[in-house]
Amino acid sequence: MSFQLDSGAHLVIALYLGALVVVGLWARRSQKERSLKDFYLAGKGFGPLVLVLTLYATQYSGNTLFGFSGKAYRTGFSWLMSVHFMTAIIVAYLLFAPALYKLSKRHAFITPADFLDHRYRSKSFSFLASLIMIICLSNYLIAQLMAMGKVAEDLLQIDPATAYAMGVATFALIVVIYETLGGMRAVAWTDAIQGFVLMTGFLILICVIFVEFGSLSEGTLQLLQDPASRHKVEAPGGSTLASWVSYILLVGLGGALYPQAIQRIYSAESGLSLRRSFQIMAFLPLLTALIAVMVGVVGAAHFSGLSGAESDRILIMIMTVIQENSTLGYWLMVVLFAAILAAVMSTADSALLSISSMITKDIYARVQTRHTSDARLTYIGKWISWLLMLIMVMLALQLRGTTLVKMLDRKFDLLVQLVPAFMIGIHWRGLKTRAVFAGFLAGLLLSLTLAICGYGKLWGFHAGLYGLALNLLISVGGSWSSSKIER
Amino acid sequence: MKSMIVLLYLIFFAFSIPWFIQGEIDLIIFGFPLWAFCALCGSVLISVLTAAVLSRPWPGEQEEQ
Repeated sequence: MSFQLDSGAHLVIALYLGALVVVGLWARRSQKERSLKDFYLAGKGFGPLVLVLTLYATQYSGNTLFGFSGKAYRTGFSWLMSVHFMTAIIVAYLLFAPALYKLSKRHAFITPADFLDHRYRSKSFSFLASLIMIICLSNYLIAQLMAMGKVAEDLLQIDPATAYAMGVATFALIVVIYETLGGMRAVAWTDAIQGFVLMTGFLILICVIFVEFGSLSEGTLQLLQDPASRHKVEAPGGSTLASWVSYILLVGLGGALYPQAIQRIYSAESGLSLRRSFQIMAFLPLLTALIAVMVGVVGAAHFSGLSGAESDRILIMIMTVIQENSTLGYWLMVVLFAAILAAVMSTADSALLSISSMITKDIYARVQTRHTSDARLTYIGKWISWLLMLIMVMLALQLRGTTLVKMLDRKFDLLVQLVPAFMIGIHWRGLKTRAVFAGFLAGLLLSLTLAICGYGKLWGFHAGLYGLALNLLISVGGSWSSSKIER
Repeated sequence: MKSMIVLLYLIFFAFSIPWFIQGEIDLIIFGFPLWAFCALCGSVLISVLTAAVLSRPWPGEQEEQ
């Protein structure tokens, strides 16, 4: 079963993709200066509307549409935990965003490591933290490219492996073109368009599904009647509940520390704009993750027998049925298809820009012995984006067939180790550099060891949280005891 | 005030995780089994609380304006 589009729909999608490149050109013309601040943070001038749409489009990715609906298909209503952990990200911002925003304005931060440099005065710590963030974001970027490949598999009526490769390469090319043309301005403006398309797509999706497949109640009753799928409706037991808590902590804390999200805090024109955008963001999991869960549940009631990576295609299967039944359904599915592209590309462009900024400013600029101008660094950053995208495309081609949610877990296991440095260190001046560095290393080591040994989850809790517990013990305990000794 | 907010968050998160409802499903509300409906209500409460917390100006915001 595959989703088929005629030449008219192909033209609409081609125009949409072309429009993104035009926005990139427009953003290039709007550049005020050739500096890192202008290229990577758009001159720090985003208002609430652009901020909320770019945060939304960045945070809700291909994984939300495919991975979340696939996971809800496999596990049922218990994946409502995704609504909670996406809300928890906004709650976690409250812990550090106000103070970080204020500091970023005062000290002209560009990358997350700039804050770490300013706060801890340790080149090795900020270098390692930057490296970890680059690894995590690369994982995220690969997941988006893989989602692009999946989209193309259903868009093109050719051999799936060839379609996957063509999709990954073509969409990656479009992203890297507009990203290097206009930097953060292009990324945020295209995100604003993509965020709007994504919201519209989600609303259309839920309405059309209920019309086509019947109400959620009917789907729930259908699942209850089948002994094989009854567990998808029943209340979750011990290990799932532990997993629920674990996801809230892991994704809530880790998601708030996404480098691209931190850079959006830096790029706000005022505290008021940032606050307003977070206020709206607090409700968006109900519009996005919740709809993805309902899609998965309705899908489970009507399409049985999918497992693993195959179940991540449930949304496409639903769309195929809808488009076959009426002309209106067909065009609504074209809009939804554009929304899928929007979700994937908007996340990929933000991740790419963020990685490029960190490699350029935190790694390349540091290893240079002579002074390099901002204009030169910006130029190098663009080349880094191209090279990076090439490597990511090759990796995405190799990883075809891996499930998307599995890739999500490992990234957060590492990112969450930055919690003490950002969320505690920004408020507590007593947090010592050595202690926070040692805690970070110990946390990384423990979570990676557990994951490598096959304990990605232990008693329902993610490996990253065991690492974080050790990390907190060392950084807070170490700082406290060294202060006592000093006194 | 801060401790009150933290306490409310703890209560809402505890309410949103369905540890307190087990056993047979005898009630379905808007297509959600009772436990899932409670989890969803918990999530709405967390969103409302967050929006309310964010309605207060941040330190230094008035100087900025």
